[in-house]
Amino acid sequence: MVSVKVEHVTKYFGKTKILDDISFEVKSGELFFLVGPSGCGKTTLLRTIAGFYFQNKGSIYFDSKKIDNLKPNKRNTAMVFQNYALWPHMNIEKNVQYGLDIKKLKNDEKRKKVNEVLETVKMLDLKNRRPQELSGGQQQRVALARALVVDPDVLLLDEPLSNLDAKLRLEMRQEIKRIHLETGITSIYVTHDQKEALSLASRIAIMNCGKIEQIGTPREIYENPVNKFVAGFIGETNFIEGIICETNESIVIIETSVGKIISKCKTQKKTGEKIICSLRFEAIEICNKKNVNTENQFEAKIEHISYLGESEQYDLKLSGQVFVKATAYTVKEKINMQGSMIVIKFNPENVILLGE
Amino acid sequence: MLFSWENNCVFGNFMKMRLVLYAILGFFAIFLFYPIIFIFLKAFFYNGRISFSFFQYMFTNSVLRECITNSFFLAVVVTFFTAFLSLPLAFITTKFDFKAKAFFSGLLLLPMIMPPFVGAIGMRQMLARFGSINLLLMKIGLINQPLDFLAGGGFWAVVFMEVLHLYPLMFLNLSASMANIDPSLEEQAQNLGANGWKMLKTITFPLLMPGLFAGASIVFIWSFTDLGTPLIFEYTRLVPVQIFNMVTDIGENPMGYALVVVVVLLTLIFFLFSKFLVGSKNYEMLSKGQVAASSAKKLKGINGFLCYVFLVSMIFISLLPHLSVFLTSISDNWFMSILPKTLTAKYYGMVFSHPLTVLSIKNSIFLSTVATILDVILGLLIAYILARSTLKEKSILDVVTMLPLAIPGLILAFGYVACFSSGPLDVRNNPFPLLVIAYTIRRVPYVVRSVYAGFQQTSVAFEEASLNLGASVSYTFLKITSPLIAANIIAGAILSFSFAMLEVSDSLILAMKEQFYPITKAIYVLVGRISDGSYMASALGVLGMLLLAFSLFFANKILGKKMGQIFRI
Repeated sequence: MVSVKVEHVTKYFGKTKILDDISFEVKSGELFFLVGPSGCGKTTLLRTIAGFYFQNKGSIYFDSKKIDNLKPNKRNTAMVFQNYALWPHMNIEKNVQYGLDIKKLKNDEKRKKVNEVLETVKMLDLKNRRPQELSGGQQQRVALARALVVDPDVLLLDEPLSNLDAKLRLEMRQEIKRIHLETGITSIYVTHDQKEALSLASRIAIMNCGKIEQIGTPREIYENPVNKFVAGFIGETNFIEGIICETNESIVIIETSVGKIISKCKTQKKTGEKIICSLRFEAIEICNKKNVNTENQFEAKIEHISYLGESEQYDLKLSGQVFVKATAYTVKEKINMQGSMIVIKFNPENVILLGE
Repeated sequence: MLFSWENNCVFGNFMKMRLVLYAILGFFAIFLFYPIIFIFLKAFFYNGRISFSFFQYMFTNSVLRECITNSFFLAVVVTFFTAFLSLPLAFITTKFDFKAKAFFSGLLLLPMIMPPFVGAIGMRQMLARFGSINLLLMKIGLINQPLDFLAGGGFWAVVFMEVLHLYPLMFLNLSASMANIDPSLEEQAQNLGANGWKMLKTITFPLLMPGLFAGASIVFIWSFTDLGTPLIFEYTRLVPVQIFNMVTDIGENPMGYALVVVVVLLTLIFFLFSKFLVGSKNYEMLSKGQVAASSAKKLKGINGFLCYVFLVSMIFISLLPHLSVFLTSISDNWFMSILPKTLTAKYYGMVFSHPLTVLSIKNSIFLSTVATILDVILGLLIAYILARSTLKEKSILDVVTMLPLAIPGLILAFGYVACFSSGPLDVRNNPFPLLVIAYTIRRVPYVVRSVYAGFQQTSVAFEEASLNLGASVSYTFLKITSPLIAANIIAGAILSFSFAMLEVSDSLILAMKEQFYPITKAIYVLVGRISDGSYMASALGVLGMLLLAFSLFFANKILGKKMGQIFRI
């Protein structure tokens, strides 16, 4: 297995800067995710690693080997394209075998490998079909097989599940997880779907406007986002602005238009400075009346309730024209009504403090 | 070693590609621009000084002035009539559904299978003072005296032939535009309360404008510069005929240059005009709808009947020239009777035994084959560069390769005679090299378009997937790209070959000696022979017609709806 190192890669399209001094390292055997909104440069980065684009500055290494000057056909990566790019004039077997033809393997060896990989993706029965005769999920499996069969150094996946329906996507997610565990190939996976990333990734890089905002494990990214963008992009969160009025070793007290909020989060900022509190929807608890001697409790008016099946989402109005959203598991008896007053409370540990 | 980002591109080496691009541009510079520039210089410089005397002379000389007016008037009338006929045809065939629609739509394209000057040979028989039509009309008692259809030197006969030959081009352009209109745009108009006419006027027609202009400019330029038809009808007061006659004393009489300059300028104006109009109004449909079966209305009752009457009579009239050529070719001395009295196949036999025709067939096949091979090579290279490279210069290449669509064969041939007349390419010695080049240049846009369409339909990801798996650029081209666009290459080659076989004006001008005559020149020369020339010419014409018919049929089968786009400017 190889590791991938990207160093200070910058890429322009015309005069527009698409990738801005990107650096990161993918360890061997990792399933590394590039996540970001559309237009953030994640696909460009993936295609640069594949060699379809050439960076204007910076270098890319596979292990310690610099691959900047290698054409895409010399990099030994295998890409799964968003639209699968299965060749319509060849059947499934031929499609999968293509990479082996180029490597000039012996015929029986080719056949063995093709059968093995088709078995892995559970497509052996359909190997004589043409791509047009397969469903989206099946095409996806074939595309994966075609990439895997050549034993690539790096597997590159470009939004591989985005053309599938919701149910199939869940199923294929598990498949990819399983295949990655079985093969252990270093993989870089591009998606804008945060759930895909959180559930599959060894590590995630969050990208925005051509830059990497944060790299970390799914848990690190979700629980300790480094800035407002990451917090807002991964998971759903409320932002409440305020000014630090007191800090000591264990707690930070923030003055906001709702009132004083207490956080157990660490911050570099000092008393008197502006700060943003990030509060996940699910971190907010909805109660009927205030408890005595508990911090972070506020009265709120229910503006709207959206029923989501397993949960309900509350749009709440707090004092000082602050609006927040909260999710709570649906309970059988419907107690809270639109327009009624309730109390919200949240744990100081769940108040994440962010700079701009 | 310093690595240059600029020089790298996924689909091949940047420098190599740039070299190919400049080589192609060089080819066009020598064989497309140089002749035209040469003509301009000759027309404006006389004895080393700038002079407009030829132009002055052109507009003071009554004959030349008349020729220019006639040609212009002819082109306007022909364009008007083709549009007038094609609009309802395109409308009926795209908006309505009726039995045997595909069959009728196919028949509408049939006039294209014959150069109009071949049809003219047959029609001359039919329209003559004692030709079939006059005799028929007299027999059923409509007239007592034969009418003189060819009065005024045959102006209207030329119009008739050209309209019949050119309306399919207009029809293809219009129906391509019409099929491209997203039906929901019209449905929205109806939904907002617009009735049929209102919708037609405010939505459908404006969206059709690009197609109409594209078609109109081709038809205009075509009819303005058509040489064969007026030659057969002996209608000499037209610019192309004058230019043709001036080729023989090209050295002494500079008037030819001035006339060509007029044609080039006019063509250029039309080309830019239509580019501008089409370009600025090229509405990208947000969602391409299927107009075909789903939304097309069934035609029933009296409307359906009227539609059939219109289609059938249109097809009948447009096939009249073909019919007449065919009848002429199998008749034994057809004179003073509605239909030929005795039939014979001997002229077909003569076509394959007479040295002039046999040689011309051989010549044409040889010339067209070479030109087609060159076209396919050039077309593939150009289309590849246009579709897959990121070279900045490719926009120049795009414009340059499409120019031959606008530059008439007449002009090109005249330019070749003028500027290569003393040198190794002199057409008086051996016209083959220049004939091949003329054929190649004139038809290369069709191949480029056809292949380019293939590249566009084929997702780049197919090629990337192959490169990604370790295949080289050339292996990818061989194994992935070529099979995927094979149909388009074949269609382009078929079109290029068959049009080269029946190329008229450059063949008439460039082939000066009998041993070098291609088919079309042989037909023209045969018509001039008194005894059985017309019959043999017709037989040869029928054979050419069959060839073109099969070619177009197969090209249409392969390209489907894309066919209309091939014939656009």
